[in-house]
Amino acid sequence: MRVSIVIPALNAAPFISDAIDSCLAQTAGTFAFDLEILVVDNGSTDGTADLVRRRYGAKVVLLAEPEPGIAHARNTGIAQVTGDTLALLDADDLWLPGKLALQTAVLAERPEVDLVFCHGVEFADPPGLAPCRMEPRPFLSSSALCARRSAMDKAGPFPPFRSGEFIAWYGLATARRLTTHVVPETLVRRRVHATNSTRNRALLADYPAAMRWLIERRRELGLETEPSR
Amino acid sequence: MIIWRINEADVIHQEFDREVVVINLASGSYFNLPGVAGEIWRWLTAGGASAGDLALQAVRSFDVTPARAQADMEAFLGQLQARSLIVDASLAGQSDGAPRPEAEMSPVVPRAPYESPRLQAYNELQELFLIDPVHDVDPEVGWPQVAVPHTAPRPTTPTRAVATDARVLESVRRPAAADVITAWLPELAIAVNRERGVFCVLSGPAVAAWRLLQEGPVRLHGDAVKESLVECGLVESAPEAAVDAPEITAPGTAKVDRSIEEQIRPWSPRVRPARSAAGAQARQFCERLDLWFDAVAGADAVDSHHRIAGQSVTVRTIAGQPSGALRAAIAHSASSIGADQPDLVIRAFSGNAANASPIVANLLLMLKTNWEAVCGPRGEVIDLHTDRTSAIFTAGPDVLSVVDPEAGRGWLVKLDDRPYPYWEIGSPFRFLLHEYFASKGLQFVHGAAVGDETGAVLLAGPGGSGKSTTALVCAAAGLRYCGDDYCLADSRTRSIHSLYGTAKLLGHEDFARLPELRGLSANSDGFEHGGEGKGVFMVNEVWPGRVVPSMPLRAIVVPRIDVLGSTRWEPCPAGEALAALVPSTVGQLPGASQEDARRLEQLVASLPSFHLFVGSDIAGIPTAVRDLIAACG
Repeated sequence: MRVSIVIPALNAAPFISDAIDSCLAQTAGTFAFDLEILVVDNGSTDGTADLVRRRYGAKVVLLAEPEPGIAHARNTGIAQVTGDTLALLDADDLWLPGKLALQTAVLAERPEVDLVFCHGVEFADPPGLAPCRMEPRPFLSSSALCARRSAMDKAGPFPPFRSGEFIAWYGLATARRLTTHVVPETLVRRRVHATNSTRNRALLADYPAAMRWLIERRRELGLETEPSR
Repeated sequence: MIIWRINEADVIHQEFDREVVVINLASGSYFNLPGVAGEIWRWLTAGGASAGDLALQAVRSFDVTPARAQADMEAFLGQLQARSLIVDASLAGQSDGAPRPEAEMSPVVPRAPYESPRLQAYNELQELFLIDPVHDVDPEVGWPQVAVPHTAPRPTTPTRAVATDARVLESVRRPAAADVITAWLPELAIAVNRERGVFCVLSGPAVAAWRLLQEGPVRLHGDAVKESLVECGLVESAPEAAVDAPEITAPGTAKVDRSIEEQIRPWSPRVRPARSAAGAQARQFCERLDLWFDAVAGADAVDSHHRIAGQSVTVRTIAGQPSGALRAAIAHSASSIGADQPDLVIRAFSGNAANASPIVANLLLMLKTNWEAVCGPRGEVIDLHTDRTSAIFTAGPDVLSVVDPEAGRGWLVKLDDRPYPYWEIGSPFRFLLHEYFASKGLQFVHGAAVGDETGAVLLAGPGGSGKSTTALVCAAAGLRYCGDDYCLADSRTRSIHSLYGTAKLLGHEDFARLPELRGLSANSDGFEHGGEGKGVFMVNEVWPGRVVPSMPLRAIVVPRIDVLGSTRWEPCPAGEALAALVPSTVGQLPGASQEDARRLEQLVASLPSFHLFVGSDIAGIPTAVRDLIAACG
């Protein structure tokens, strides 16, 4: 089994090596799969691409997606993967050891499952200076997702919104009857810091548009009543 | 009549082609409002409206009877309210500024076809919305908004309810596991609860009560003191101990202070680890660190030798690495005395764990991916927290500090190759030097020190109290300088020793007072280089020879900004000096213990204390300090 990991990165130099190291640590003690790591640089101006190239060389496939937006970057990466299994990781988040081993085991044992999530926790960077929730909770978010490549094709690309793009995508994936499983183990750590995009109030403006997109897609599938005129 | 408004605090909404999409961020539900429902929502966005207002508007705009419109509006507003999409404007404390529709306005012609408003609610993505962290953001304040710390639960109401009745004699005791450090004077005690980031200044009989509480439960009269102690997490109810516990009837006072909560409170909600007996593991780990350093350094190790408070300290770095920048702050103490047999050797380097031995690599991996799992509340690395070794991990800059004071060895390992942040450039090796010098009976103090040929004053107080400004203005005027943030104090010899020859400025406005420093900051993340950090300056580079290694200490001075008054000094109670020194010192040093408080008590008891009122007359500060030193000579 080959697991392809797609990491979109925008000005992620301070933390991307932590993210990549946490990917590389996934194969420790297991020969069940090999890794393909794709970093998609989304127009960084802080030397993210140079850092990744210098530090990881051939261990990481470095792609560029100039069109701004995490959805574009993710879609570009997903289009290039060669693995039969796909996992997403945001550049400022971290995986805990054993994440992929556990999630790929679920995919191997349960053919009816398409998308596997896990539990996650938040941590503040710098410590104590950002509000965060440290209790583990189900993480239905991008960094927690491990999926069959075929399921990703069925779900379709991420819609191009600055926020809410994962929520809308997941809503459509379930509308298209993809099956979700959430493992109880805590395997993801989300970094909460001043530059988290979801913290930016201005970017919240895209939430309604993302949900509107989802409602329209569901109408196309006949899952919604048409509005009366 | 209720005037309804959109619950803007929790709701975001947008109109698309006569339909409105509404998201309730607090519940994670989203809604579609088609047709008439969307139109009603639009009316609500224009200002507050009652069911009657909306019914009138509906009758004007749509082909609907007043009776049906009224019934429909009431039902629809009920649905919106049940989902917290609208709020009662009077309860929300909002004024009703927007004009409401007038009854006599003529109908829109022709009126549009009507259907009863429908709210389509969707809950299936709730979990996804709720794990987004946006909901912590206060809409008034915006991001960043520091949350109420998880580790500082507010006192529970039942305890307060008991405490409000002064006649009730309640038994209280110290919580067994509390991380509390107390400094004592005969008439005063300062108890710092490091778990909650709060301290309490006790005076009068409350001091005796607190002393008795160290031994066991106490029956305490007086709700005010009890309430303060409970609020600080210093006591809890001990109902079973009511009969034979000692009784304190005249309670004195207890003042709660949360002003430096940010500096004191811990980084994670873990329980404070106890020191274990040093085993083979900690010893091996230190040996492996040395081997790793040698492997990374090859022939590129660079040594510098220093003399700090009479101890010879060697700092070993690797050419070309960011850790070289840490030496500038201690360059003023460079000395070859004792260099052949250093008392303390610090190896500071950046390393890739892949080249380290497995026991080191394993721990570093855990630290990088999940430091809270292997560390205590202040980053104490549990495996290395022994009676011989101490270690902390500073997540963020990702720096591991390890020290074995008895062997005179320390390590500062940066787990990446990024530069150090300004606070490490300005005051490097804090943890190592605090632990090492504590083992020699010397006290790390959070304070600045300046003086002349006859002696020095220790300036104590939290950031913003005028401590750094006073020290720098004095240095600019030619006084001797021992540091603006941390110094080493020795109460036995009544002397102050310099640790760092640095000064830190907040922003360009500080150059108005200290123009000589402009353009000279040493750190890349400071405001002078477009960063957000403070600027760090090497005082001896600006004024050569100004930083001195040691001075006799004459007084403890607590600066107070008093822009309307003149610059002057007057004696103050020793308790003020203790309160200025203890909470900020033991709060900022992860390795601080009751021993630090004891040494600070001795320091305060051995010296006179003064307030220095810093007025608008900045130029008068150096003169006032010189006069004060002369008066104490």
